[in-house]
Amino acid sequence: MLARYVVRRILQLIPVLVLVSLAVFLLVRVIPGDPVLVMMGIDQDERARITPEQYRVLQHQIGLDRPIYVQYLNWADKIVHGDFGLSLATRRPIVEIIFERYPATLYLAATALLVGLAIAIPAGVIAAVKQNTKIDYAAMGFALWGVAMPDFWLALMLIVLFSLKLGWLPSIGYASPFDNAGLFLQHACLPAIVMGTELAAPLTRYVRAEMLDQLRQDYVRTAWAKGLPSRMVIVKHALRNSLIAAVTVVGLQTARLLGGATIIETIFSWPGVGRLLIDGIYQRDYPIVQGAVLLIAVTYVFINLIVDIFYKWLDPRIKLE
Amino acid sequence: MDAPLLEVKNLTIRFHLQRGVLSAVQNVSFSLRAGETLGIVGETGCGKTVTSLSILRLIPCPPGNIAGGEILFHGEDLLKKSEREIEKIRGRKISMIFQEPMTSLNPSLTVGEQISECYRVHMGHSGKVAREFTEHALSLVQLPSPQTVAGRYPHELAGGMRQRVMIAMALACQPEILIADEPTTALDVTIQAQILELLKELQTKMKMALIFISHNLGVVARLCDRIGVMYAGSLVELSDKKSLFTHPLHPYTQALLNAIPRPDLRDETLKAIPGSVCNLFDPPPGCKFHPRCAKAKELCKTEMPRLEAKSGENLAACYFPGA
Repeated sequence: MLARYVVRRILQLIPVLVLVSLAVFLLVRVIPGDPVLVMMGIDQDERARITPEQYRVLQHQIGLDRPIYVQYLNWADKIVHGDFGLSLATRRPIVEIIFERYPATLYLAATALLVGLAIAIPAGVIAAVKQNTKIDYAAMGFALWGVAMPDFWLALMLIVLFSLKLGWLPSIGYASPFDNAGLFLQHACLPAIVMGTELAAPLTRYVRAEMLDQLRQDYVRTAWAKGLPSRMVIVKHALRNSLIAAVTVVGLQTARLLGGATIIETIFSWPGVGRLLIDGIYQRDYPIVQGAVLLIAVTYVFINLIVDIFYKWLDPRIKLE
Repeated sequence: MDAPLLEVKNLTIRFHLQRGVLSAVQNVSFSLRAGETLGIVGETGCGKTVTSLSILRLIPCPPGNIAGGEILFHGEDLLKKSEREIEKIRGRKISMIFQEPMTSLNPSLTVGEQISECYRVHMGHSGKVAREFTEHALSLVQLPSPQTVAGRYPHELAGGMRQRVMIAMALACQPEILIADEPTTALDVTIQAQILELLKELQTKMKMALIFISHNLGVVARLCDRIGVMYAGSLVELSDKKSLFTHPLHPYTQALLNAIPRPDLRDETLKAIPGSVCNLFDPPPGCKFHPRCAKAKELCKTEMPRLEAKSGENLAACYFPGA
């Protein structure tokens, strides 16, 4: 049942992925200026540096003298075979560069997700169960603060406090969790707290609202009437159903953590895809930008797939249309 | 005569709402003997559900507040028990089934899981034993292929099957009292009859007492030994079934009986009760039924009548009971 659902859901991804690839392909074509120069990373006003002869050779090399759909198909064919081209700056294959960076982003996102869930779920549940008490107000205060606080600001303040004043944690650097877990946690601590807070703040509100709604449902009354201990009623019955709705929010936020951590990665010099993207933009290394954007978009799509499958697993009523 | 199994004494429940204080239940007293079936009838909002929920302490407080009274079960006041103690009674000694079987079951757990957790929590059975008991419970409520049903989710079952599941769940631990709050209202008529039949059969088999709450006198007549009639938060009459239908004591009961369509009186117009139920935020002084009562005198407008024996063991809260 679930397996068939997964297969069908994956088939549905194909048109989405085609659209994503089209958008990434067109990205370089719609940037103002001559795509040949853009692809070579040469400024428009520096065009005089190359002769018309050189220009035509370049144009032919990149394939820009052919019709645009042929260009797309050629490009897509290469992408499918894992060939994203070479970085203009380093002349290394894009795939190599990106997959060097991707694990760092993944590890940080996973850590941040854990931090976020560890804050949001208990806080939301307790706030709902103790509605209109000081605990509830404190949780809602945190949520408001977390939503209102810009992440770069929180990051800088944490660096000032924990790195500069107290000297407890490093502000920059990275170690792979598989090489040195302790060192990884030291380095990941601050960025994970910043990203986790950003995730937890809206999620706390969401979990609280869902819990309040579920606690009023008839089936919760049935669970009380059965004589179940309160923890079982709250966690097994009400929370389970609340999380079904929260999964969507968590999924979208996770996709953001994976793709949108550019600012945090830059602040903490975290060698992830986000920072690679920023560096690529600064260096006008468009193949890098293309590769990174494509990877981020594909990540979004697959996270969504995972969320949907998880949703299906949690809520047996969802049927594939 | 044996001591009553359950005794509700002067129960008063109020709800503190934004609009004001609502007296949902006022001075309600009744008792239930082991194995007996007590029906409680009344229109929507008369306090019958609130009364039944309060027995298991399921009234949300706040806004609800049990302002007074006692609920004695085996002589012990349930209202004085700790949360932990009441958990051991709920579902184990006193169970409850509800009106809407669809929303009363957890949509994301299989019905088997929802039943077997009763065995695990109350009896301390292991998962495997609990599963076997669950299948037995499902076969008791006459569901075909209990093993299959146990693996189903509530939305995969029909309404009548869901109510059977609810019954299996409530009776899992063989309680002494089952409270059924309009268990057949959401079902269609043929299914209703089957569920009533099943309840009656299981009650005899398990020798448990049943409190059956309904707004339908016909349903109550089929099932109950004694019937209590509630109006605007008060119990106005409590009689055995036969007397209630042949010699109703309270004018409200009489009016209710007159409002039932009868085939032999085909040519007469149905006698609806004039007026409407009083505002529970601001009930009238005296007997709350007096503005709608044809027999009301000056006394009825000032003094609230108490529920007292009027004819044998039959009780009514009325100064001028009987025909």
